[in-house]
Amino acid sequence: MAIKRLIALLAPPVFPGEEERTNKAAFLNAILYSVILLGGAGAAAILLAGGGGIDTILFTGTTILVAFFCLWLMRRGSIRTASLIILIVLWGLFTVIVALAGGVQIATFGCFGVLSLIGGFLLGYRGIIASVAAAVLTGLGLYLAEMAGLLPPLQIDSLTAWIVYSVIFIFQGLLLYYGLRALDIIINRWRNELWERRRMEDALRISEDRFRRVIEALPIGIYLFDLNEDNRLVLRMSNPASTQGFQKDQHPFMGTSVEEILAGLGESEMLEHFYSVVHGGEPFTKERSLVESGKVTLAVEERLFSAGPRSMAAAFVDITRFKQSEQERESLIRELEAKNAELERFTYTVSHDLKSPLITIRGFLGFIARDAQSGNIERLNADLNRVSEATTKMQQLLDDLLELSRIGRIINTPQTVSFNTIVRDALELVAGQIAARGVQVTVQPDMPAISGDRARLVEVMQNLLDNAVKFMGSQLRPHIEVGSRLCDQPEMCLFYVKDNGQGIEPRFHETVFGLFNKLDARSEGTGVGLALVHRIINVHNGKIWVESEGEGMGSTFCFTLPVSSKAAPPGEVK
Amino acid sequence: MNGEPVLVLLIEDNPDHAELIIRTMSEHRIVNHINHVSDGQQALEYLFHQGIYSDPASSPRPHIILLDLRLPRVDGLQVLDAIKQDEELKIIPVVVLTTSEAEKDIARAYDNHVNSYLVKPVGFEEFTKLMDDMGYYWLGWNTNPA
Repeated sequence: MAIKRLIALLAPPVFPGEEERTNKAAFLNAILYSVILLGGAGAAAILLAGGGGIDTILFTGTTILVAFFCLWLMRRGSIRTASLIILIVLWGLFTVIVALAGGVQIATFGCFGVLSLIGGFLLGYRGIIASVAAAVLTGLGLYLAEMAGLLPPLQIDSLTAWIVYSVIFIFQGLLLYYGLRALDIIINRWRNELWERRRMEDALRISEDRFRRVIEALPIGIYLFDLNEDNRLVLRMSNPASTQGFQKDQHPFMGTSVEEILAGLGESEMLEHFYSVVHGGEPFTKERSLVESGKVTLAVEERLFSAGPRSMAAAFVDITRFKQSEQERESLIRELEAKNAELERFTYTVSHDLKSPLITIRGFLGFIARDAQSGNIERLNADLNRVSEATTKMQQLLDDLLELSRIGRIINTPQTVSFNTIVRDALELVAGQIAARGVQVTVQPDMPAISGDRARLVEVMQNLLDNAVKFMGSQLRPHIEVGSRLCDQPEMCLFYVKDNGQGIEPRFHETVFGLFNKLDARSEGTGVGLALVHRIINVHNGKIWVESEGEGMGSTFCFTLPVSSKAAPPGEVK
Repeated sequence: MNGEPVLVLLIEDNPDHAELIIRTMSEHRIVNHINHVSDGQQALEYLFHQGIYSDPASSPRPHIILLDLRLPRVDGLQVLDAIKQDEELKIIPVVVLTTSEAEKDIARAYDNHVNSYLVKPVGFEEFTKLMDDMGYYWLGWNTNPA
């Protein structure tokens, strides 16, 4: 325990994290204890040998005291001050010893060599210069003093020489030991640093490689730009996905300026955003889409963002599919809304039109009871007639509704048939009305063959021809023309039924196709005819509309139907 | 109404409904005369003295207008709008008398400042009761502008 405590007391101070300082402190500690022990031992030896006197005790004692003071200073951390003090004291001691011993020729003079080494080790380059200069100048001073006869004659015996040399050797040994240790520390540190650096470089390379692989595999086009020495953005890196927007030979080379790239793409207006982002501006996002005939064919989202100091990235995300499905969804929603609105109108119309004859029936039943009571047979018959007609009307409405609902559900297998055949069939069905009104009908020969439900399309023509005859008005030379025209959709053909009858005012051009909509309340029928026609054409993916400049101007009903890719069966064309 | 003859303009396209209304209303002592037009176009011509009604004597100003909504040529709501946009005609009470219970129709009628909205009931008793009440209310109890 006591020994351990003694060792701990004698041990040099440790400065955590400061290896070099700790090493210097250990060296200084060894030097100071050596000075104390060797100084004491040397002085004792010289005194025992009969040399020296009170001055030897005085000098050695002072030196030992100073060494203890330096130990105290060193433990407080003032290594440089302690080093400087002990060096100066040792220098003084050696100078006195050498001077008293008779000059530069004695062995003790060699101590100055050791002193300069210690100075260099403890105080660095300046320490070396100062201590070497001090040794040389002290030697010169001693020589001049000897020449002037100021020094006592040379008086040294072999024992003193041995002691002095031994001291020198011990100091040299200590110096070498601590010097090597310092070198070892430096080499170790250097090796550790090198190893650490290599490890970091490896980690960096692995990390960079990982990110490069990820970026190269990304389906997002990425361009990395750096500011060059002229503060222009130039291309530093791009991933394979970035080539998508370019032709093969147009893809920009590394080092190309952003000005050149954007000019090539015709997007110079983006330039300011690139520079704004690299100079610390907010990230910038822009969507652009290419729309061809109402459909999105290409959609890209561009994002500009900072990639660190003097660097920025431009990312291009292909959002075509997203935009397309968005467009599709919107169109489906619109379609659905239109269908819903149609259904709502339909329900409303049906309820209204079915309720109307009911009101008549129930109302007149009341009057019939009164008529019977009052014996008014004439009015009773008239009222019975109204009730009967109302029930007939209801029956008709229900039949028409059933018919209309069938069209949407049941469609005969589409067949290729010449439109002339359809017109011929329809004309046969309305031949009676045409003859009665004396209408002249012209049909364009060789109209295209269409693909569709033959029976239903005959129904369409029958309705349109029937309407044309019915609403001829007061026309003296009634005429109906059936023909076809080219359509702007290549897979469709436009057909028309044109009359010179009473015409339809533009404000009714939409409503004529509505269910149970009748322009003339007195005309025959329930008003389902054109609703039926509209439905049949719609089921065939066609469109129907009416062109008329107004009353007395005649009207033209136009509709489109899909043309058949196959030729009509032979013999069908009239 | 101060001995002045009370005139009703009935705008109704269904001849049976028109007959029902005219018969039930004629039983009142309040109404002296009902003028009937069968579509929106005719109604406008009557009210604005145009066409066959260009002689104001043939189209006297009614005290109340009974209006069906679903009319051929010009829709009932358009007729209502035309009446309520006109400085002279807008003070005439307009009672919509229709089969429609559609919310949209009700809302649009009130948007166009209709004075009353009545749905034709199914059933003789109900129908006559409604016509009675309507007649007593609008032509009896209610104070109409001069």
